Amino acid sequence: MISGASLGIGFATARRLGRAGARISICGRRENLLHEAAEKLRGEQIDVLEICADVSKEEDVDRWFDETAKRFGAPSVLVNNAGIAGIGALMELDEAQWDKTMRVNCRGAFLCTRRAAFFMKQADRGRIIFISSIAGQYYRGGYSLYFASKWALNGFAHSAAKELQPFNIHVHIICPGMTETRFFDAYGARPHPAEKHYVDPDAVADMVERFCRLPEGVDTNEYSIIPSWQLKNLGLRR
Amino acid sequence: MNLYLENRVALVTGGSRGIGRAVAMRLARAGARTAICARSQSSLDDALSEMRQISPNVLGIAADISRSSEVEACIRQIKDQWGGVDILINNAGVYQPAGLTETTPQMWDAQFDVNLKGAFLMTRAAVPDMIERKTGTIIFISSMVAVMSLPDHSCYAACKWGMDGFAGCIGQELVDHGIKVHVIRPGFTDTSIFDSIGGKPDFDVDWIDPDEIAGAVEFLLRLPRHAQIPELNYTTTAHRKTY
Ligand SMILES: NC(=O)c1ccc[n+]([C@@H]2O[C@H](COP(=O)([O-])OP(=O)(O)OC[C@H]3O[C@@H](n4cnc5c(N)ncnc54)[C@H](OP(=O)(O)O)[C@@H]3O)[C@@H](O)[C@H]2O)c1
Ligand SMILES: NC(=O)c1ccc[n+]([C@@H]2O[C@H](COP(=O)([O-])OP(=O)(O)OC[C@H]3O[C@@H](n4cnc5c(N)ncnc54)[C@H](OP(=O)(O)O)[C@@H]3O)[C@@H](O)[C@H]2O)c1
Repeated sequence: MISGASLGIGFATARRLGRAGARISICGRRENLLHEAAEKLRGEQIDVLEICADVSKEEDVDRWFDETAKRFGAPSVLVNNAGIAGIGALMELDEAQWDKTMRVNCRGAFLCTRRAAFFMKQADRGRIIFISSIAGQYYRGGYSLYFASKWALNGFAHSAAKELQPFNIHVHIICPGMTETRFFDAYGARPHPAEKHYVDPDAVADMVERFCRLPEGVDTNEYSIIPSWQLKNLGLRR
Repeated sequence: MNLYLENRVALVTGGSRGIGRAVAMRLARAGARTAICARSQSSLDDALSEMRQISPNVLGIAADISRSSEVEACIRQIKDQWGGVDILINNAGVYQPAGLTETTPQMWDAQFDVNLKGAFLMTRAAVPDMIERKTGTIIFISSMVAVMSLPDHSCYAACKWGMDGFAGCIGQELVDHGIKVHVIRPGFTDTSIFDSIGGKPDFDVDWIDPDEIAGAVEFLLRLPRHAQIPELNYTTTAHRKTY
């Protein structure tokens, strides 16, 4: 199950895992984009179910999980990928913007993880992968909302990892840096000059696949994948 | 009396009990004009009567920090009475530990709304006056949970990690306006926060007295203007083994 898989990193991940033989269930809000994505995957003989759902809404998440279980049985992998930005200086941020970003990036991941944990605890196995961001690893003025949402996501994911380990449920966190997707459409412009190299979303998907293939008894927890020029941002804290 | 605190206008969110109350007492004693806010009027009254024995310049405001209208009214009331806030202590918080599958979406929202969004709303409301006067200090009472991960704390930890991320970003954003931002992370502190789980857990640790955390707050507030201690972990020796 991959949330937010009509575009970008989520789509690349669905394609990778589908090519590797997994049955794929994806969700997203915009129906046309979601169907387009599903058709592309079907064109590659991937067995895919697409459910129009907003991860920040409990009833949508429940429907996505129920329909997926009906079609494929209990999920063995959840990729919490759906996410939105939330950029602006402190004084320009309004409450509605705060709520929207926190609801999708944090509450959405919580709702999906919680539903998955019910299934996976029962099965005594499972893997939950968070597509967080290096925004959860350092600080940047002018980005307090998006960064706070990813820091919170990392705190949630690390705690869930410890809690779910006894049930043989593995939790991994991938923190991409600037990635070549439509994530920045919302701002009109990318935050860095056009000539800067961005990570290919398929490189992030490749990490997801590698984590899914980890041998029994082995774990990783937090991983960054960034364009090299962004190295300067890492290790600024902790 | 120290030049950095006397007559300064301070607001301590959640100042009616626990750490916030100890901070408010210290600030009042140091000569700051000290406002506290909390939801329950009766515990506000209780704290105020203790503070009044030290200083006449104290103010209690009933406000829920998760509601922007109440946050804005709170800041306005202080401004009308004393002028803009110089010192903001983002302290109010709620604690509802639970296993992931036992955490309901309502519990998730309740903790996020107070612990994280409340600090955002307060900070946003207080900062314009600080920017105008090119001075101000904001202290976030985070938690050691923000540098750890614990079972049964996934939501509470998410709030505190989020708070650290938020504080770090605005610290960078506001530095050129002369505003200082600090994070204090207390370890196990003996307060009423554990009433939500039926009382203090039976841990074999030396519990921190809330006044010790208040001492750390005062220490940061009295730093010379050029000095910055962005983060301060105030924890029990027991934590050394776990993080
Ligand atoms: N691009 C980067 O530089 C970068 C860097 C680090 C981390 N990330 C993270 O990577 C993740 C994926 O981002 P991306 O770059 O691939 O962005 P993207 O190209 O904008 O794709 C986002 C996908 O998520 C879906 N989505 C958004 N909100 C949703 C919701 N509430 N419910 C369900 N689906 C939702 C979108 O479809 P709908 O809008 O139709 O729902 C879309 O399919 C995000 O969590 C992002 O924070 C991105
Ligand atoms: N005690 C510890 O071990 C510990 C450790 C690390 C960090 N902390 C943090 O320290 C801070 C203070 O905790 P504490 O231990 O002193 O807790 P406490 O004794 O329960 O006091 C909490 C205070 O916050 C107020 N409050 C709660 N929700 C509020 C809201 N929505 N709006 C306004 N005020 C609100 C409470 O008053 P009302 O209920 O009347 O509103 C009370 O005054 C919290 O952020 C907590 O997470 C505590």
